[in-house]
Amino acid sequence: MSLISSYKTDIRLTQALSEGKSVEEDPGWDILHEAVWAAADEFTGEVSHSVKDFYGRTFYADWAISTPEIPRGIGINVDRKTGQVMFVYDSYGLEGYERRIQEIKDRVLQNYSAIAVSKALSLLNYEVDVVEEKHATGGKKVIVTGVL
Amino acid sequence: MTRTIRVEISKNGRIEVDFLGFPGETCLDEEENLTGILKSLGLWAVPITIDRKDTERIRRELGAEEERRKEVKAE
Repeated sequence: MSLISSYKTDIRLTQALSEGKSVEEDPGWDILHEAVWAAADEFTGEVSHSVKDFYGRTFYADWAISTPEIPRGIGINVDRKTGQVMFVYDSYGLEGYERRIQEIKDRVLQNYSAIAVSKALSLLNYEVDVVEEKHATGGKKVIVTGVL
Repeated sequence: MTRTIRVEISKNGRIEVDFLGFPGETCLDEEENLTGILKSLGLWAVPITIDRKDTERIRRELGAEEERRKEVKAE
C-alpha cells in the first residue's frame, strides 16, 4: 500500500524548550534563520533586527525583513516560553501592505518547510533532491524528493 | 524496489506528500517517522487528507518504475 497525504503547517520551536534549553538552541532556530534570509533575498529585501511603526518608533525583532514595498519591515519573533513564531508589523495607513506582508509570511513558511523536509528526509537516509518551480503570476512551488 | 517520498510545498506552506513504492503498511510507519522528525525540527504538520492509493494506481506507478529501470539499463 502507498498513500498521498496533505498537511497544513505551522512553525513552533518546542524541541529545545522541552529539553530545558533555550529556544535559540532549537534545531529550528537555524532553519528559521536560513528561511528568513532566503525570503529576504527572493524579495530583494534586507534583514535586520528592527521594524518601525506608523509613528516611526522602532521595535526589536529576532529577524526583520524590509523591502522597497515594505519599508517599515515585518518582524519575525519566537516566543521564548512557547516557541511559537509570530510576525509583527504595522500596516496602518498603507494600501496593499497586508497583501505584501502575507506574501513574505507565506514565503518564510514555505522556505522553512522546504528546508525542514529536506533535513528530515536526509535524517531518514534518503537521497534528497530539491526543485523550485516559479509561478508566472509570482510565487513558487518547491518539490523535495527523497529516494531510498 | 526503490522507495520514494515526493513532497510538494505550495505557496502557503501547505505540503502534499506522496509515498511511492512502499510495500504493505510500511508507508504508514514512514509517514509517522517523517512527521515526527519534522515536529522535532519545528515544523508541525497537521493532516488535512490521507488517501490510500488503489491497486490500479499502485500498478501504474510500479509499471512506470519498471520502465525507468529498463531505460537506465539500456543506457
